Amino acid sequence: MTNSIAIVIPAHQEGDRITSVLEAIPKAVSGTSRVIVIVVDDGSTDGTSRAASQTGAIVLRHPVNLGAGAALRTGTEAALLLGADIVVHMDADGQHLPEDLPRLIAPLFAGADAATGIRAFGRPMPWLFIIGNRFLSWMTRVLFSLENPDTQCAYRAFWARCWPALRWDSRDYAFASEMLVRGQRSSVRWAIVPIRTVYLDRYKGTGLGDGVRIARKLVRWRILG
Amino acid sequence: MPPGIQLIALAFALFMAYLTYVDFRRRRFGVAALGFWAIVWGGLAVVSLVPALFVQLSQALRLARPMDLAVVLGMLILSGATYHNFASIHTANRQLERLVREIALSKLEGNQSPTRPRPDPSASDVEIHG
Repeated sequence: MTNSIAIVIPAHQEGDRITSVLEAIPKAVSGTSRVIVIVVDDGSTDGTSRAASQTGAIVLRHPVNLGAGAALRTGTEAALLLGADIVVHMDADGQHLPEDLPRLIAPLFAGADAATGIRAFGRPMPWLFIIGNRFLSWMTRVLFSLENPDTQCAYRAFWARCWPALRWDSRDYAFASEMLVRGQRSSVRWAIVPIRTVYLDRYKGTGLGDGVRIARKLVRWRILG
Repeated sequence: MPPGIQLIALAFALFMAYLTYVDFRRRRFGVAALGFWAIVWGGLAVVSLVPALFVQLSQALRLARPMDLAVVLGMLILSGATYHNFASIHTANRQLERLVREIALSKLEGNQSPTRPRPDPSASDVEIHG
């Protein structure tokens, strides 16, 4: 058991939630020898960095807000610099439960290159998000023959060696789709893991505009490669 | 007496020429850019003042009036300037992203001793599975 795991958490204006999220992350994860927690503060002005630092996490800070995709890329590069073997992406607002982490990474030890969470499309997910998520997953299937019922779920894990194949350029929420598409083009073997659906009263993630941008990029990637 | 639209175009050209000169004095751009914009605003002023100079050119291009020529040329210049702005902003965005990421990672490199060299993005050491 020599694998180290890095949990990368992009955070923007999550000063009031980040502490509880970080404290819930287990100090040890089955199958790994070391757990590294990396928070990338994406230009927050509400003390997110300070709150995260107090939990002992490694905190990197973007001086200005770049977007979730850019923050995750910074965090992933940091994880690789620190020698992580497995990289996990987790949201900072409590949408992704640390209890699901062992199930998420289990397929990696069973031969998968990467694993992605999928949520149940029902309550408590708002109906607009159900439609948007279903539509983008359908688009991804039609354009890329990629079978994933929840392409926008950002709770993911992958072996560090897959980074060159998954490396995304999108700074915004389109990184999730880009990662899948790039992975598919490099024949990265994805596992799909059902996770619990958590939606909070103060949701700040993808909106309608983001959905349109992701759809536009999917078409562009299909046409231009 | 020139029509109102010509007077408006002339006033606009003079005002923009003044702004361009002020920006040049503030060293916001160099002589080449000053020359380019001087030609643009000067051309607009000349077309506004003596449109008759461009009657033959307009007719050769099958345009009814010299002012139409000015409008068409203006739209072409505007399209070019819009594209130039797009390309510049895109480049600036990429540079900003790289700078911000390097600033963030420099803290890590300063405080931690990496156990592994920085990943080469161009390397393709991923295991390919069918």
